[in-house]
Amino acid sequence: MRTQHHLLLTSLCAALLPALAAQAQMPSADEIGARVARADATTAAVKNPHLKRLAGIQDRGAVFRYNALRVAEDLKDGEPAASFVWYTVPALSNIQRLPDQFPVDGSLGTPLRVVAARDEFEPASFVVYPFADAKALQVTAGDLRTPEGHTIPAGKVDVKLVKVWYQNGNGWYSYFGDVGLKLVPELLVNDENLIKVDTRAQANYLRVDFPSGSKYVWISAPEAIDPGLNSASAPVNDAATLQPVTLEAGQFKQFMVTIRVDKDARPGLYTGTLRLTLDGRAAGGIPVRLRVLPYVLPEPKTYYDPTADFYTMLYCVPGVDGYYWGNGRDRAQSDAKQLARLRNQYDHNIRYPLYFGMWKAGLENLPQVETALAQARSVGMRLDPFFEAFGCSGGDATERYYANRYIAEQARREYGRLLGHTRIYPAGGEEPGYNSVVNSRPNWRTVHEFGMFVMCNGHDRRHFAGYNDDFRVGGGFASQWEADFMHRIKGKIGNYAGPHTGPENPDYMRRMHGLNLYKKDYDMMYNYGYQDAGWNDLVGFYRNMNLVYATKDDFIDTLAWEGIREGIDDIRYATLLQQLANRAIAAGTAATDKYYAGRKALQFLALLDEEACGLDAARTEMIRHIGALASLVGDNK
Amino acid sequence: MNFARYILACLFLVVSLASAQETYESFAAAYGAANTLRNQKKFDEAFAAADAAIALAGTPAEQADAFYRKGDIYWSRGRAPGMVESNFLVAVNVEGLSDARRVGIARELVNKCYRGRGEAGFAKGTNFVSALLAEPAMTNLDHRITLVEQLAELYFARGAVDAARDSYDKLARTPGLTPAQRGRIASGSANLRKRLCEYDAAVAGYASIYRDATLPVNDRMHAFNAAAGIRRLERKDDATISDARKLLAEEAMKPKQRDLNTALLTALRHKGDFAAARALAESFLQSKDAGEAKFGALQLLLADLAADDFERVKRDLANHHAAYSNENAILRDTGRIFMDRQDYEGALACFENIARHAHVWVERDAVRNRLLCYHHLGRPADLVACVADMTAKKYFNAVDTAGFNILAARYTKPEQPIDMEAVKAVVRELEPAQKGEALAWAAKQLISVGDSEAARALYTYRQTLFNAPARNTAAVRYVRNAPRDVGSWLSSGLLKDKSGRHDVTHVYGAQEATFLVTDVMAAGRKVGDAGVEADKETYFHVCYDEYGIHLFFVGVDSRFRDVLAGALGGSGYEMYLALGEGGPPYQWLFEQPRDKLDIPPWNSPNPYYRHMKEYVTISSQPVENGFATAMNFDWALAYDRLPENGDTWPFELIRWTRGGGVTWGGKQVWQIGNWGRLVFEGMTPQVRQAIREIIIRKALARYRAEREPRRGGLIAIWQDAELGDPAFYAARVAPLVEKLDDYATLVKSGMDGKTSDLLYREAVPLWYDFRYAIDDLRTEYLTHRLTE
Repeated sequence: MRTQHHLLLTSLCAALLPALAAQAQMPSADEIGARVARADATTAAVKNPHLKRLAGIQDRGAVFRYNALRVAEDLKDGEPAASFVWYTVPALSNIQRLPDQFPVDGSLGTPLRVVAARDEFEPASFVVYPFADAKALQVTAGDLRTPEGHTIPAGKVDVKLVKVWYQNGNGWYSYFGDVGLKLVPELLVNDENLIKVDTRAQANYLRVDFPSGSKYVWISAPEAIDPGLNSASAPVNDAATLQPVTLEAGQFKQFMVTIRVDKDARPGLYTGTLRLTLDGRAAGGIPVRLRVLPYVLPEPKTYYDPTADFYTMLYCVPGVDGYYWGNGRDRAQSDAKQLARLRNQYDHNIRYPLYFGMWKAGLENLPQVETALAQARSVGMRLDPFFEAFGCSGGDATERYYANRYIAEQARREYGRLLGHTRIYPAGGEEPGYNSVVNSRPNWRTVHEFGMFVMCNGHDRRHFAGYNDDFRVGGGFASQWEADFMHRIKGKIGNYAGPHTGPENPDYMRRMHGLNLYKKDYDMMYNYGYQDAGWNDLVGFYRNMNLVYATKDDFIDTLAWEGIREGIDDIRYATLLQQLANRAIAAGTAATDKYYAGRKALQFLALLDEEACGLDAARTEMIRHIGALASLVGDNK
Repeated sequence: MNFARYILACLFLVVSLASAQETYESFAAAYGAANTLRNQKKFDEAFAAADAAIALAGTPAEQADAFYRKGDIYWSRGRAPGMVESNFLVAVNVEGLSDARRVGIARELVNKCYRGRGEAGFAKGTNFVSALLAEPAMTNLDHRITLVEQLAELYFARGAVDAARDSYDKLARTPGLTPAQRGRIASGSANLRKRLCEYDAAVAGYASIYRDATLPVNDRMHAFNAAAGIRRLERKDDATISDARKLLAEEAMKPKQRDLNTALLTALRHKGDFAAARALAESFLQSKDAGEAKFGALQLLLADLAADDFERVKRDLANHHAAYSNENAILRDTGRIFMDRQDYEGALACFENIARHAHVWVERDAVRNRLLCYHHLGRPADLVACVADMTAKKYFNAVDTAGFNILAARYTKPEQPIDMEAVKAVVRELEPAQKGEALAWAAKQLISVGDSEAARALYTYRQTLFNAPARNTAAVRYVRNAPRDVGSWLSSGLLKDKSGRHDVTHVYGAQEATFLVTDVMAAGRKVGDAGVEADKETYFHVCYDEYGIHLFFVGVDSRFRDVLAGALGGSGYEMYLALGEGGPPYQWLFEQPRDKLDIPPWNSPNPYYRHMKEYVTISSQPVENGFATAMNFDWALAYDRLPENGDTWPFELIRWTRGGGVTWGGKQVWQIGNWGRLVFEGMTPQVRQAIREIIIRKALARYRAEREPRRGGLIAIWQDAELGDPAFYAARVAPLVEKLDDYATLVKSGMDGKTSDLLYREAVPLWYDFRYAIDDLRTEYLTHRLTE
């Protein structure tokens, strides 16, 4: 066994170490062993991926050499089942998993371990490290079963490849435009060949299925020559299921596994396997161990008031009918895509639809509004209250005042008919300045007279608005004092641009859209945007603010988008923890264990540093507290 | 009194501008010149001409016109509303002027000086109009209607909508109105109701006009269209359809048959009754009148487009080809729809039919789309022929023509790589900027059809036409006992080294600054106003020592005393630093001379990234020519990526002065690809060792704090029986603590290099970021328990 192992490594190193290969055709096992030993001295230090220099790594060749040695060290006496190994890694990490990035936080050959509540999506991830090139690695999910025979079918286990491609020089960190390109992991695709990445020319190409045949279109061209690509009409689609991927010796590839646990799933420990096939031959499998928790997570509530809703929504361009006007006026396709968008958003914890420019004026586009509302309802979106149904800015000029009053009156009537309520928050403006807010006062008053509410985004305006502004959506990074201010004057507060979407880092996006807002007492996550632009990251003052990339009929998810889903799930876990803790505390000091358990849980939450805590650690700790509290208050549902 | 003074002033002007008068021989010449010069925005000359006209005016009408013109020039120029009003008042009060002209000027006066001008304007305006209406001689009903319209406008603008309505209602009850006057009042009243969104009343008003056979047909048609517009908004197209049919049957409306049918067809389409719209359109197709038939063909196409029935649209295009040859906008829009549907045959049917005399941009767009269609349809020969045809058209400019010819060059031999020699020949005669434009245009077309390699070849050639932008670099040298504040920088010899001074000279683009105003993330930045004069001279020095990087910069500001006194704002600074190429970037903002930093959190803190706020200090103070600031960045910020000699760290400094921004890198915010680079020098093994030893001690101190229960130290807390988890501690934390404690015993002054290396590699990451290690252990511990 040991000999086979070393033979594999020998082959690998011969391929990867040109200098070594030049000295001898086939290095001896002892020589490989000695290299591993030498590397061993540096291994602990390079737990930090950026300390590679300490290992004397100066160029790409050396990085490959180093990675090979690290894998060899991890294998120890183990024997890989095939000409590749896998590492399980945290699904949503700060580490950019590039082809030459050794998974410093990974665990060689261990099962994927997943903990999920009922009615929850939960991600897991692994990276594959091949010793040799291969044409087709197929990953196929199997059913997950409990010893009692309960099953989560394979169809609920979605495996995607994490596509590494070129994004601008601010990739991973910010949402601003730049002129350079760098490799960044971002897209979750079924077909890796949908996008071709040319590392020699530093370019991305997108497969477009023209009627005359498929062609790869350059989608990272410099702005001066970028023609744009109409994502509503261009015949671009990902495969429906994960396709085989190619492997290149010494290059890591990451996969994302998302398990959908249905609401009616039975609690328990489910096990199963991701079957692997390499170039047509069985190549073992990756064990999956899933704990389904006995409860369904509540909808997210605020931290400062566990009975008040925490709203989640995202701006989306195009708005109602946007696909129709961009796709050659194909109504059926437009409606289907709009529905796909809503489903995708709902599955990522977005509970309120937001339609950019929904109400044009009068009753002109009422049929489209009706369709949009019906679709939102059909996927489970909540429509009460209903946000940004129409605009109510301006109002100082008589004509504008009456025009807005007319729209408000109609909106109350028509939305009242369609929604069954008038808890409606029209948009009070678009990042209005002082004059605009002051000029809008008459129309905001109209909205209130009609029994509706004002919501308005933009900068701090506490010195000249607030009293008439029911829901301030603050731009920029969230701050506790801004939330406190709005709550003290009986208003609510949401956040966007803290940061805008664009950064790919899923851990950062999870935090900033999740616990960071929750702990700072925000009432809403409302970012721009869901998908505002196309494929080319070199175009414009800002980067593409995309959480998804639109294909003709559907959307391609991203790491950041998965991060946001988990961020909202963090809030849902925290909400459940608060609810149970409050029940335990309500039992009173006579039931001291319950009482203490409730207060300990709240203490944990209060001490949690939302800006720096390990999010996975916070999640597992919340689950521990919830489990303890549930058993104490006698509620396992 | 004021008026008299004004007349005197005018007289003085007339005398003083005698030379100007000499250039005009008659009132008409001067008056015409004043108008022309006003249109040309040559206001000084226009005023002179107007004064000449005033001097030359003979009749009351000429006098009034001259003063009116002068007031109007003031209005066009802006800035002096009082002069507009006073000139208009002079004009309207010229003795002997006809009421018609007085009322006309009065209308202008109300519009330009009183309406929407607050309480004062409202009072002046209503008094003025009321006074005119009260004049005994003002009896002409048409004039009175005009004045009441102005009164209503004043009320409306002031929000006094009841008074506005009443004005019309009272007017409508005036005895002796002619039918035309009745219609005019009804129209004004309906327009008012429409603007108040009182749509039922507005439609009733319009209907009373278009149903009144005694009124002129033009007025009736205008009212009908206004009513139809409201009904479209309110989805009440049936009423439009019904009334249109009735009017079509009226003999009096015969001259408006085409307009009525257009309105009828529009309503049918909007209602969604495409079959009726088609049937009506087809009825025109049978006409022997060519114009009628063409109208029918167009309406048929519009009906099929509204129905989204593109098979029919294609049939229409084929069957009535000639009828659409001048309908360029419809053909263009329909062609684009077909392009979006990847129906290139359908698109070609539109684009090939765009009239040759279309506006050049319409045709350029059509040609572009035709070329794309030929490409998609595999018809390169047609593409080349199309280009030849277009090239022959002289009105395409040189860039368009070259762009077309580049594509022709590409598709003359479509199976082969693009012939760049042929491309170069095409653009040879162009100016460099034109070459760039033509190449970029052609490259776009090639990319959009998936001919990426050819596009890349064009782009590569295009880039050779431009100078590669130079990148700024600044050497960062080791300095023993480096200065840490402004005073020590000023007293150090470093500032005498001119090679160490780096000037920030690029003016930040106005376009980019405009975008920043909407950047809510850092809306606090003061981008300044390019129109304001301000000192922009800015320079910096930078060095490092064992403790960190030290940055010193000066913003020259000759008005720094005003800034200190609070009379002026200081400069804002926006700066960026990335910890190596590809390393995480930091952004910070502050305002000189304040020392409060705003550091946006562009990442979650993690073992490979630390927020900057704990690792930076800043201090500013006034110096003889402005303000100076010293910043110190602790190496611990970058303990895991200390630079080596020759390493480059991207760096940008933007100074936002009161007069706009200057940058070191020369481009916009956050454009890391264009930032300058700090280049490290002098990192000897000894210096590196010294830096590491300092970091080792800081890391150990940080680790030791984890034992402190009062500070929530993790080692203390996890051992606690109530709030921690002793089992977890024993199983996972204790072995790590034991190991790290062992390492701690090795820390001594005068450590040898080997020990220092070992500690730096093995202990520092865990000491420094102990909490992340514990987070990982805890996650793994609990997850295992849940999944076993």
